Amino acid sequence: MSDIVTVEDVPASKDGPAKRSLRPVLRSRTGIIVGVLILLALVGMSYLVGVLRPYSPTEVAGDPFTGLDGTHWMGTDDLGRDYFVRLCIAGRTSLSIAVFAALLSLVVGSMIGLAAGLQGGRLDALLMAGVDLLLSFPSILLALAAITVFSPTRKTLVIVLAVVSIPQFARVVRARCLELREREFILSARISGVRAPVIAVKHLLPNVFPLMMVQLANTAAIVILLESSLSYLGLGVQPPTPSWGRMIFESQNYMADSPWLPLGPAGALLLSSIGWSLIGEGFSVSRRSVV
Amino acid sequence: MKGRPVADTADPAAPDGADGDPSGPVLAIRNLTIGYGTGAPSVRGVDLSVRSGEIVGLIGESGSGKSSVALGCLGLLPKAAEVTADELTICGTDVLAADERTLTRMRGDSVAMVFQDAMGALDPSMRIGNQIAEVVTRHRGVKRAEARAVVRELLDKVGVPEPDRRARQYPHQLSGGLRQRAAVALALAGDPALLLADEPTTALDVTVQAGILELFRTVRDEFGVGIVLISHDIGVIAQTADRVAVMLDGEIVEHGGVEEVLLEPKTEYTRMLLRSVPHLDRPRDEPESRPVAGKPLYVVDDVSRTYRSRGRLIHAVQGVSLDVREGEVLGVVGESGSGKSTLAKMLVHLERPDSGRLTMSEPGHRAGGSGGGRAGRLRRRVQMVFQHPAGSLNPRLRVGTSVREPLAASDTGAKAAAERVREVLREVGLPEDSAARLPDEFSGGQKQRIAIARAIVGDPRVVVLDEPTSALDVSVQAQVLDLLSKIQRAENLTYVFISHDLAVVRAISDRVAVMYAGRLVELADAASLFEAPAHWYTRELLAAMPSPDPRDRPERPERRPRAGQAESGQAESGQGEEAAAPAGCAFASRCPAAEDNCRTVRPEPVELEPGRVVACHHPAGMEGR
Repeated sequence: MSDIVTVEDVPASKDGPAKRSLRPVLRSRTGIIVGVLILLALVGMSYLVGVLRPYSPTEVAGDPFTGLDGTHWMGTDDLGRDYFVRLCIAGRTSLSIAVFAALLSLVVGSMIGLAAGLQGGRLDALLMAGVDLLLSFPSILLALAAITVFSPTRKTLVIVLAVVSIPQFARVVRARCLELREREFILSARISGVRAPVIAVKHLLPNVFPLMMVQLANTAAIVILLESSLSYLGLGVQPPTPSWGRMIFESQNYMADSPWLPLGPAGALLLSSIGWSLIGEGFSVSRRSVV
Repeated sequence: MKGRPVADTADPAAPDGADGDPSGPVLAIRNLTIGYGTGAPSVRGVDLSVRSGEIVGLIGESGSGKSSVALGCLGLLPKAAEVTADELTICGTDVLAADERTLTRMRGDSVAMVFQDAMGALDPSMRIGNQIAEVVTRHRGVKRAEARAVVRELLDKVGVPEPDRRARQYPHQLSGGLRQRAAVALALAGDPALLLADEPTTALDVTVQAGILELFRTVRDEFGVGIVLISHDIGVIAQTADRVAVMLDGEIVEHGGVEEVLLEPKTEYTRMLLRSVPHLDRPRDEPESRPVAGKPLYVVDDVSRTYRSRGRLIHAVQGVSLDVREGEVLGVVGESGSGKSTLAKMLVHLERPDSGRLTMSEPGHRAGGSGGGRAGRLRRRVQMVFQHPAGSLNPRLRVGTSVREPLAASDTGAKAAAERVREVLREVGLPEDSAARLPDEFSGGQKQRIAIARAIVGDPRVVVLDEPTSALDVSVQAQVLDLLSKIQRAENLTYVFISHDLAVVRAISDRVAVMYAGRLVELADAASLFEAPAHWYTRELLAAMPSPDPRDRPERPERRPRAGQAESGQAESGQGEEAAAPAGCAFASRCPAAEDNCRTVRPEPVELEPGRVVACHHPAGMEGR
């Protein structure tokens, strides 16, 4: 348009932009709400299952492979443990590892990204070299190597999965910061002698925040799959603690007779991944309409 | 709407573009209304007609609907737009009734458009010649082999030097001016009868703009096309248009011959618009007794800054020395790439000079090499206002928080800070409750007022204003300039006012520095610089400024457009990116007074007379000295 360089001096209308952005926000809100509901349902199941069903996930509750019936909703596994209870309890493991790993990578990755993006120069080059080094290995390979060295406890899993997610975080946050640091309000702050950490917190963070939320949800979706892959390979949380990846691995031999055994944890995995993705997508749509 | 007699487009093979009745209008609009859903239509009852061989200027501020009219003529408005008109015809084609195929044929055959951004109009991955040839073969029914000759002729006619070589180049290899000339050639390739030009020179430097405006006059005379020239710049219209229409809020409020409208405006709006335009020959309206000869406050001593970009050295600023005096307004002018913005960034310590010193004349305040805390304190003594009001405020912070920031950094008490913020917001003329609102709720001009409030809140000594009004409409610009002058007097501030617009600089400055290719070429008090420029570049700049008075236009345009030599030369040498810095004067290739020594010996800035520094071997009007 011709008027890029000229701006009118009438007060910007209050409802104009709001009206325009209503549609995507609504759509994104629905997405976010559905995503949150899915995840809440999964979490709720994993914690309320003790009230619903009288079994513990590790006790032998009946014969092996009872099939679907009233006492064992999803039957029992090869050792006679209640499969539904195990499926629900496994959600605690998978979901909590995903949340904590994503949060940890958010904190560390964002700090790296903010520092590199705001400071630039040598610090930026150094940090990004480290990040690129991490990025150049497939994350599953890195995780495998790390888990083989350290024992696969829940804590190490969180740390390892966080570390492999950090590079993406740092990259995304840095890219946005590089863009923002040339904006006039950041320059104004620098001219006024505002110190770099204050600029980072006051000016960069609020403008990067929506992006961080998108990345957080996306990371959680990836981490949940990664954790299951590790469990499937026997490098996740160790038995008898149930986890979805491990359950898929253990049940695949009985797939022909009892297809619901692998399908249960696979479906739960899919649902939780979709839940996180919906939230991530929702945030990114609403971000576009806001910024 | 097939079968309608008026829906027939002109014969594409028509020999000379004079479609239909030569005296009939090529564009006829009666009672055009464009609306979007509910609310008042954005264009209301517009009547406009353009005959071949005339330029009709369309003036208006942003949001007045002038671009919508142009897009409506082409049938290019978004689907949501409701367009109605008693008549909207181009060369007899009813645009509103035409189907998509007819419209497509009409665009290019009968009407073409030139945009502000030539880079967007040209395909970056295609050679210039091929792009034009494509249109020529499609619309003129010429064979590919013959098309090359037509392309060559077109490029030559629009003043592209060495048309054969340029035709083989890609758009990015051309300078801005040549690119716009190529875009004009592309628009003329289909031999249209009507040319719509939407702010075609807004993105160009003033010396380049002069050439393009001349090109439009030539296109009118030689190709006989009717041109609608849309611009917010009254000078541009005054120097090119035969007739003028003034738009306000979607309506044409005044319409007539260029001299009639611009010299004897009938409506209050046009009068206001004309009053707002800063004039080159009109200095700041104040007694000349201002203490211009204040003490040097901020001394820039032999400062240079070089960037490295893709293996090339770019000498953005080279050996600039000047002093900013207490209480003055020092204007800095130059074209894009002249180094004025880099100089501004060094003045506020966003960039460090590679060599040279910046000294604030107060004990203990030296810019270079001071520690963090000291640099912070020093920084607050020099503040800056940027060009783009939209970017200068954090969209997520309330206005009060943004304005208070310089105070927070200097440990002012919360209560005193809040009081001071209210005070400066009042001073820049914003409503009481502004502090609690978000930047989105303010218009461009108001945002710029907030940016000014923010700059002065911490009692700085010097405020650097980097094109503070370039993004604003002319009436808003006048208000902001007034405000800046008022504040300067009230707070006893010193300004460094950077702009490419000489008339704006004239309106506010006491002294003016002219930069070219990273160097200072002239520094003098405003009156003598504008009345008797000594450097040839300054003279060229002043001559290129389109005057808002239509009587100032060149009597009879030359038959052929002046070749875009200046523009091509600029891409190679004038942008401060001398690959291997030539030994002589950077302006020598464009200078009318250049002699042999200009190409071999660089002229150093010399104080020719008290208070007047010129870097030229043969300064104009100073031969006797």
